[in-house]
Amino acid sequence: MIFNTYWFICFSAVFFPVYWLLFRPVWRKPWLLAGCAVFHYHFAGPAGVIPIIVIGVATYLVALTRRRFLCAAGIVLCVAALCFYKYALFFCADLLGAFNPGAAAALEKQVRTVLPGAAPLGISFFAFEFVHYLVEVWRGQEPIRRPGDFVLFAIHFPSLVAGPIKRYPVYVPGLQAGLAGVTVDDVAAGAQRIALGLVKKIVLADNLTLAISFYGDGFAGLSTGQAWLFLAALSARILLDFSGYTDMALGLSRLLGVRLPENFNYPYAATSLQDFWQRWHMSLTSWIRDYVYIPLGGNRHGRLRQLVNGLIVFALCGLWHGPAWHFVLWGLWHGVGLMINFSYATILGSVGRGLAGVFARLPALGWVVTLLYVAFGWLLFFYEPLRAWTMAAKLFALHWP
Amino acid sequence: MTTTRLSSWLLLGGILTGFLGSAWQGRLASAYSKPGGFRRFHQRISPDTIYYPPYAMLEALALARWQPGKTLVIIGGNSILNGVGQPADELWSLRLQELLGDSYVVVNLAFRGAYPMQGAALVAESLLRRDIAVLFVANTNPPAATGRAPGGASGYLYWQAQYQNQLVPFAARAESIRRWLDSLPPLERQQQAEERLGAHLEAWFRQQSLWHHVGYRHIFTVWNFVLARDFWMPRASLPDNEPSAQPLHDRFQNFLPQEMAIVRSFSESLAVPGAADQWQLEAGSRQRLSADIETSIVPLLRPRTLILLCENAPYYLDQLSPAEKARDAFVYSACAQIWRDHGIACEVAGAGFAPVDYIDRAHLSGDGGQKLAQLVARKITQLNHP
Repeated sequence: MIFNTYWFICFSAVFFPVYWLLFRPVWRKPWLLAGCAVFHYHFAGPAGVIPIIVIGVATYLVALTRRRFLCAAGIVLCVAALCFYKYALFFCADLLGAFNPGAAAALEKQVRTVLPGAAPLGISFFAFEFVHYLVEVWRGQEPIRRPGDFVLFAIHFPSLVAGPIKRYPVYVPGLQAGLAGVTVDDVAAGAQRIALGLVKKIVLADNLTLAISFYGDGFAGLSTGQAWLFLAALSARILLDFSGYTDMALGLSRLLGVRLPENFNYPYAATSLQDFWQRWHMSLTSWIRDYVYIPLGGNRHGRLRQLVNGLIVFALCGLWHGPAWHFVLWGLWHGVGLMINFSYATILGSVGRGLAGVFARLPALGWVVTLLYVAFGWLLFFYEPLRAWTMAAKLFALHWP
Repeated sequence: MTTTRLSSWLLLGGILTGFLGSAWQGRLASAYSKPGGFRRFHQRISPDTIYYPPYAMLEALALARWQPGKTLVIIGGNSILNGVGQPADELWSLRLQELLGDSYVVVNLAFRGAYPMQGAALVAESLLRRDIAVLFVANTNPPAATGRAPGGASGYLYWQAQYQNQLVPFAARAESIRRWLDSLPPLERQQQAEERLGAHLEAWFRQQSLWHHVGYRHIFTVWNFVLARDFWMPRASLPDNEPSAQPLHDRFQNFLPQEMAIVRSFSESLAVPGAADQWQLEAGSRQRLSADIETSIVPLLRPRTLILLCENAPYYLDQLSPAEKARDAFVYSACAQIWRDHGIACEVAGAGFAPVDYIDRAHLSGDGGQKLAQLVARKITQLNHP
């Protein structure tokens, strides 16, 4: 976690006071640019910065032309970069390897010679923000003219590592407002948010991570009650970890006077799976809705097409979280859940309508079912499918395999 | 000024005041905070349980024991001298204090997994620099040699001592550490840079001193599997619970092939056959060991240091072939001589020890600790009165 490193504390101790003391936007902007560049270079290194510069410059230039085919080419470049850096080895070993192991091994060897040791820092977020930018320009929105504004949109350091995923029509005016006048209220609100994030992340989530790592290794030896407690800890951990990080990102950005979009809205209070996805990682969900689900046809081509689109979208959503099958399965788990959520009332006829009535009258029941469904999904998110299945069986005192 | 604005100023003022107040409290804590009734850094106040005693605490512990006119014996090294395997009342360093008598005071600052030149060695160096009569005792094995002051679980102590200006300027050590840092892979180099920066900040703000003080006296905040449900309890309420040795017939059975591989590795990595069936140290190893000593131990500390090369338990040594036994004996003796060639007293510890003196391959039981105390007491007396 970057925001609790000593380097970042020292960086902040110098960067923020100077930012606040530079009253005029014309002075603040280059300072913010320099800060974002130093932050990005420090944590990503040259191997992580260069690919981002290349796709960033290409994105900026093709958007300026406002030509649709160039924007489309830019989108292809961003997606290709994401696939290459994040998924190349997965495609070789897990996809091609299933059909032709020999060719997969040869290709993997080749790919390893050109791939850096790790994917560029934040590549998933860069790719999604650039794709959003190009699609909006392609749809007719005005591109960002000033290169400084574009660079800040790209490498705004509070959201660089783990989002939230920004939308430039909202970000750029927010940036101008922050540069023009960050207030003491902004700083106080930012500090409160950072404190909240630190408590969630360091005091709660990091401790849960240590405990989960230990008890996860000895899961087979836990009693049924302890196994349920483990599942609760796993569910709490991911929310506290991610939302804590987001709180810090939002708080740091607020110290600059720039408001970022919220990412979480009490997701474990959701009373249905649809409700959950309107509360969990909202910047990603809305991105996927706007740039994948709706372009695929969304719900405009009948029930069956809507369900298939939902499955595709959630499989991709899962894959976005990491290059492994269990992430895909986690996405599909939610895709299937949403399919059921959308269709049970009509497909099951009077039984379905009756069930829907029960859920409507008893929101607590919907809350319990949703929470359990989401919690079981986290097993797939964190563990290989077979292990996740064994752990799920253990929760019901079953032993499988 | 609006109410919101006023409350924002008050909040920010509170944060700043809280930060300065905690730095002040940390500075106070670093001067006096130390475990009560201290005998050693047992598992519940060690990095094993995410408790990383700050350098200032080590120095405070040593200075609390010292009295003018007495010689302070600082024990460093790893889990063997820490006394793993010996319940608190059978600790070898208590026996050492009894044997040495009132003109000496013994403080055991050994850490599990530490190298000889980490932690306690830095305290000895710092106190010698202030003209306090100090003797330093540490253990190692032939291939591990001196180890490096930074790096590993106890390496943070070097950076803290360095940035608190407690160490003697020693160009050879600084250069050796610089070369080591340059040789690290990027991720590890970044970790070391973080550790250094943390130590730098500690010198100013004493945040680790304060946190460890709170963790010892009031509440601990980081979970670990050793303490599990008790992780939050103040460490002062968790006494030294080192268990007694198992019955002899249960002691040496675990991981036998792996342990034998370790036993063999001690000498096979260093010795090569020479003429007339004699063993000799491999030239590169001799050079490395010599360079390690030369660049790790400040000249000021060398005549005040006793290094123990700890042998493995007889149970394992007895399973070596005659040729391996000869090689082992040669390596221990030759390495001890290298230490002596650099003006550092060195003894092989383990000759005449019985199986009952060990709890496993390396660690000594209460009985073994008594024998070690006798050996060290004898050598300490010679070292202090040459």
